[in-house]
Amino acid sequence: MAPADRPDGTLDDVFRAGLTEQKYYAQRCADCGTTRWPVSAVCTACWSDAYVWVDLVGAIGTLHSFVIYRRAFHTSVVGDVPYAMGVATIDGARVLARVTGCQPEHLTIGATVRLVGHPGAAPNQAVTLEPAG
Amino acid sequence: MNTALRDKYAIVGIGQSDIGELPGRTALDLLSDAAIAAVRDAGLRRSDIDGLVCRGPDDVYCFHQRMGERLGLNAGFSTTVDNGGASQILSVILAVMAIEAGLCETVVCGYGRDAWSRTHRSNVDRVNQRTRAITEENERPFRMLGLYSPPAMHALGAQRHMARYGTTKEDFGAVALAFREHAQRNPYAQIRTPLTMEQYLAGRPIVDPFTMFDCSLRTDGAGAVVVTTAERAADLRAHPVLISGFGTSNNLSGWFADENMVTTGALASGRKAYAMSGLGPSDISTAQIYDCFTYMVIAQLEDYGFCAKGEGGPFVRAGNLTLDGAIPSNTSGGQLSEGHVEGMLQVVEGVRQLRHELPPERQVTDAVTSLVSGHGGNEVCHSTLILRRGD
Repeated sequence: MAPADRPDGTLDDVFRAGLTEQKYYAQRCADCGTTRWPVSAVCTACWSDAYVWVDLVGAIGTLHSFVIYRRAFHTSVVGDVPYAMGVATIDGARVLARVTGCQPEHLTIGATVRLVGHPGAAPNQAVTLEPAG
Repeated sequence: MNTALRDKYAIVGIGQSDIGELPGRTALDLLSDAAIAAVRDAGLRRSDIDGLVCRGPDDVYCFHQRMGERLGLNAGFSTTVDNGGASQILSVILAVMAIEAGLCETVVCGYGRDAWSRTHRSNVDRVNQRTRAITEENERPFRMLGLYSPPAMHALGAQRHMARYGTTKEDFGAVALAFREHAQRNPYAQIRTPLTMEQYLAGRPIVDPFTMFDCSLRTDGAGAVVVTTAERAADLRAHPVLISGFGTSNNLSGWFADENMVTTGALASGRKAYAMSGLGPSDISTAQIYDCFTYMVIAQLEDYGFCAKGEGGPFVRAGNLTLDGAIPSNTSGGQLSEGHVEGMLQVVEGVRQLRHELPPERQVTDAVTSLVSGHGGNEVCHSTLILRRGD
């Protein structure tokens, strides 16, 4: 189910809190149906402010592009290198996540991918893209 | 496009500060040097300047005011520009617009940064490579998911271009090698050591498909130019370099949207600049392309029509970017080797080539037109300048 908007937080806080429950929240416009991510106050297609939260975990999409970090650009991910980040088209939106479940060198653009939740993982790996071929 | 603006304004002064690793010198210090050098180069005095359009580190509030205070200026028009790497050309465009509107007459445009210093103050700074303070609204949820740094954003584009068009690492290498070769002719360039394709391919990995040689430099430095009317330019010291055309185009929908990683704002921005100037790609003598990363040069060469979309890789591999190539590009070494001052030094170099004052080993023979590009602002803002040597 959709989360209640946190009265004391921003829309980004909803997304951030969702990750701790292995949910990847986007918004679907209640007027035109466009799915958008990252979260924002109005629909990028029709400017409607009516939306429902959608959890994209489990949804299938295609890999738009990816990169493999060989060097950390933040002290918090020094131990994670090498790691891959992917941008995928899911439900018409372009979403970003860590890529796991395969050797990153074997990734190909256009591959079928799925958002997968990982209980107990750190927030930046709680939901990742995995190959779903 | 308003073709009435064609050749109506000119760049009459150019200047740059020391560039490189300059701890202890702030962006304001460096831009002071560059601005004064540009005004003196024009043969003008402080009292002639009544406009200031500039930029520094993006976390400095009202940078132009702080700059103007240091230079002792009052301005009919002044502002800080906020389009990332597209800002520096935009500052020249805004200067033209402000003079055209009658708000001022003679404008200093410039940019200064202390990016090397900011990224080398501590070990944490060296890892995080931040050139500006982080604010919540600024960062979108990318960092919390693990996506950090401009190299990664542009590497996403490079990877997609490779997948769509078969562009190779060697193609990116051809860009790095050509600009490094130019830097060896530039005594002020930050890195002048020779670079071979073998060394390039063995470069320290950063974020695939980029190695260190695909990434522009961390630089402390500044550049500046003086803009006024072509009419006034005729009476000044330097051979006039006319602003023949300019364009802007910003894909504000973002780098992830549509095909923005592969077809950049350069396409629409370039068309406007070509239309205003009455020139096309085959009329351009030299190009100074915003080379934050090797891949971006390939994408922009395509978007500017120097070759077809997807053919940028073979185009650069064929040697077209060298001084005697079809489109001599980044003739000072560019941001990959001369120093990364967010395109400001490339505006300066675009002018310099048209003055014909460079030593022969650096001069594009008989250069009459320069195209300069600016790219940035979360990867999607773009500005274009087409300059022409005055008669």
